[in-house]
Amino acid sequence: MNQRLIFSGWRIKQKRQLWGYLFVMPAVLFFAVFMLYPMINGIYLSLTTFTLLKPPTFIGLENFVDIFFRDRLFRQSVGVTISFVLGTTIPVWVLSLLIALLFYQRFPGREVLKSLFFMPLLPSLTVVSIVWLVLLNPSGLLTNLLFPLTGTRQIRWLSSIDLTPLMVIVVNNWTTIPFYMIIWLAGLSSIPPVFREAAMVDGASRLVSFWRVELPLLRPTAVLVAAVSTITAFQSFNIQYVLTPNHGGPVDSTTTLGILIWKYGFQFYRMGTAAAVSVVLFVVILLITMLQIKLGRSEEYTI
Amino acid sequence: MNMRLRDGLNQSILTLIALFVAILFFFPIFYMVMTSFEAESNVFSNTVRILPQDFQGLRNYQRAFEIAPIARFFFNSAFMAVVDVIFTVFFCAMAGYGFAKFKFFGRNALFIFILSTMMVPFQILLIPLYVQIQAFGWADSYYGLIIPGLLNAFGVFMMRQFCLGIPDDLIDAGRIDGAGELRIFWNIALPLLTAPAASLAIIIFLWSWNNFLWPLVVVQSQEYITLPVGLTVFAQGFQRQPMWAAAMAVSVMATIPIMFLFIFFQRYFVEGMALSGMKG
Amino acid sequence: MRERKQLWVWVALLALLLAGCAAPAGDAGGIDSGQASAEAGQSADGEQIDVTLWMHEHPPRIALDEQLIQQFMDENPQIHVNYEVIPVSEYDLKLRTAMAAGSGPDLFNQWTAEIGQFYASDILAPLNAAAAGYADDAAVVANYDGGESLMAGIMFDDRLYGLPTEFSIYACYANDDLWAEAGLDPATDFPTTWEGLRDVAEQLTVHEDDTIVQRGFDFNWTWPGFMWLQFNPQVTQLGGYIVNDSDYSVAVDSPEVAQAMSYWTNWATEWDLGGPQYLGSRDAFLAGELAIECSFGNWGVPQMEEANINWSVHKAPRWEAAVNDNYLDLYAYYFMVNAQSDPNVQEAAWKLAGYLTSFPEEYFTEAGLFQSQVDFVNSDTFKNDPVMPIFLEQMRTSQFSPRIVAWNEVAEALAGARDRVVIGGEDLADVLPETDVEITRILERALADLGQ
Repeated sequence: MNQRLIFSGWRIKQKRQLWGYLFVMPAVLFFAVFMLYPMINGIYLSLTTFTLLKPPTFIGLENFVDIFFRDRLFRQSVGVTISFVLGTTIPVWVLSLLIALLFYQRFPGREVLKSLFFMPLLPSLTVVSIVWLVLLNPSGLLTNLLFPLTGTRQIRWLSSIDLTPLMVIVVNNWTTIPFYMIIWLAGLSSIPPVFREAAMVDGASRLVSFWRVELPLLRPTAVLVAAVSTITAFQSFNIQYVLTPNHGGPVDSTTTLGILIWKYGFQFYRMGTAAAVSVVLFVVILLITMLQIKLGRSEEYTI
Repeated sequence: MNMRLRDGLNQSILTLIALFVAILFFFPIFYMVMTSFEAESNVFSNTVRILPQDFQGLRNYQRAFEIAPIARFFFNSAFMAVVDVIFTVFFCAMAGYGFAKFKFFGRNALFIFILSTMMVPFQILLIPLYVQIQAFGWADSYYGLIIPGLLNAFGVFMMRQFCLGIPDDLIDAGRIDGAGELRIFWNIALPLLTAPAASLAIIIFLWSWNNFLWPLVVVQSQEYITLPVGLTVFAQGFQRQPMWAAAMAVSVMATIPIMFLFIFFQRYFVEGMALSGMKG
Repeated sequence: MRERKQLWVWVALLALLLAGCAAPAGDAGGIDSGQASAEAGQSADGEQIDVTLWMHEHPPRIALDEQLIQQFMDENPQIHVNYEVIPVSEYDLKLRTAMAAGSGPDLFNQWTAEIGQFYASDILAPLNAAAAGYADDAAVVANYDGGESLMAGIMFDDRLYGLPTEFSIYACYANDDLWAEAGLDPATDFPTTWEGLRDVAEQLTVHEDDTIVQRGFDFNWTWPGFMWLQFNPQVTQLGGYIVNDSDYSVAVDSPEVAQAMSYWTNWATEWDLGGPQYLGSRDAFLAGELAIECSFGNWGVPQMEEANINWSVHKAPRWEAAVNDNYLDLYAYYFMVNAQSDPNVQEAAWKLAGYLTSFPEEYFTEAGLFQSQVDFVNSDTFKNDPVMPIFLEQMRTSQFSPRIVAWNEVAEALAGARDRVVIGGEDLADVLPETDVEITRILERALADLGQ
């Protein structure tokens, strides 16, 4: 009797296990076939020389030695990527928080204005880039608008090595700020009003209450925004590809690592090097994610 | 009284600031729509032009359809997005449910495996995936275009989070009633997941609709080209003049479906974005 | 019991999914099955041969291509041609990816910049002269005016690897109205030397306050490839070279390169006549802000007409001390055949290529593409053309840019060197030796990558 009960308990447990596998199996198989397998292949390619037109040959870690010690373009691209990351993450973090705080207040017309403000996140990055190609044309609106101030029509928004990286950052921030603002807003509205009210009763000013009470509670959101914007900035490809001359120009001043991988792999017939750069990028993203998990300690990231 | 006045003043200042911010962010979109009605020769000039000076009605839109098979691009984008959404939502919900509500050997390892695929830069996958799709015979077809994007690690993650919130009692009650696991999933779990599923669906639609790099590589024939890829053709100017007004018209058309989603499902839209932490 | 049933449903679903993932080529063609199964059926008979042809998008030629291909298929019912037109901006990428995956087209149109890499990768099939309708390679060369130099673009070790679909070279176009405003006449005053070009350009440059609103002449700084097409010929005129494509020797750290490079950098810095910070030269010329432009081929004319530019065309300048009589560098597009295709498909592809390249007059009048077949060059159409004789005259004594591996990467290194001096203000004497080393290394690695 007892034994049968244990046995049937074991059977149920075993059956449940089986069901568990069945539920997750389609997803696991899918990711094994369409992510893991090509990824392993990609890592393998980083250890080969692969010119696309001929089968790859194994060369060990040479590609990595190459990019770290001999590759001028890689070094330059790291610089470009880091300035793009700094130029997007920090301003985006601050501005999206400020705007979220603005729209968190009550004032007439809030909903309408918020909807208008959200608009830039709707079009795809390709559309965004093409719209800005028109705005930033040398005879485009921006040149003409600023003409009374600058007195020149010779502003090469997208063909000077100083201005183009800045414009890429501006366009990127324009389309991402509304998006991160949503995340902040979600974080803000998840804070129970009790906390703020308590601080107000203590006589703290609005600013102090925000700094001391709300911001610490927003820590998971703050870390999430920082991490996600950093990761996407490191991988940035689309805007540079469409917006800048020669996909990353002029003179590679907007060649981020994402573009560099593209360039090596598809323009220079150096898929092995491209794969090595992707592996480096992967490791960087892995580190940032780990940092995020450590700093964020948000419940969502515990398994 | 004084207090109220100050509040009113504060609110007006807030409205003003918000108005400024909103205009700053909305203006390029507005300009895109206006330019799509402008004559090609007026797009660039030496004067400040915001409203179309030579209003073309829908002529640029018409021209876009003549220059390229826009309708086909539209259909392809929509087809790909809809298939992606259906598969992603269903299979991610299933996997999320499995990970949240069953204990089995290797569960955490498998879950971490799926999560870790979120960190892989797509460029690393591009060539190996293409070679693989080629080996399956799927290059330059809907299969190659759509299948590699059918599931999404973020979807699995999100659905698992929400499934964790389903009370075990509810599931056990179902089991006691003699319902099969599939029926429990279908009749008890799925209905509880409608809201997150809607958010996920919108996010996936957005990603799929805006996807650029993979469709660029995997498809050659005009019959399978999607909108974002087809759009770049209008802006290219090698040995031929780019057509900016028509490009703006296509851009507007490419954004309208998303705009509709935004207007009608704003809540899910915002939630999905807030949860995903990623833009398309 | 019910659970068991459900289990089976799941297992079946999973099996389906697995089968879907692993489906071989033939089975996967549900959507495009019509074509796929038709192909399978016919090749089994051993009769029908399918040739896939990739063409970059040049709208005026599409209708003509389609019409001629249809005629070809009518005359050769055993051959079926899949004609695919691919946008210019995606063409190179798609060709490379498809070749990497072993699924490239059988016949494709590609230009000289890519040929070195393709040849070194053993993916080009040597010309089958008989299939293309010629006695031998020599007969092909003889069929083209200037064949010796023009077919050199597709010759390796005395063998031909393709048939030309377009020969092109840049000439210099003048905006006659801007010249007239400066009191000059291009017909008599157009400079024949680079030294003279500087003088003329100075007269044609218009300042407004401190900024230049009209340039006399400017190089095309936009794409690194112009370092081959515009810069390389300047070096060759002086008797030097950048890379020799037969032995891969590099001579960037040389007085000839230094002279040409200082001309470019002075242009943008010391002489203040232009530079990379301005609108690209083609766009500027079409916008009427540039008086002389030297990176349009004969295909530029329709764009100038559309932009209402009053133009005239002139031969490119040379140095006063030139030792070679070349103008700017030649480039060409050729039909090439994929060496990975079946032998009988290759033969059919050459036949098609031979057929499509036997209508030079049609391609010239309808699509502005110049092929130099002797008969065509002697025709009235050609002789009466307002620009072509000037282009052909330049072509006869000009050279192709080296058809090396890593063409794009070396071009980038050259442009990088140029910009270090122009934009970064570095010393040419430091930059050139470093660039010499860099280019040598690029080529060594590229050759090593190819196992050579």
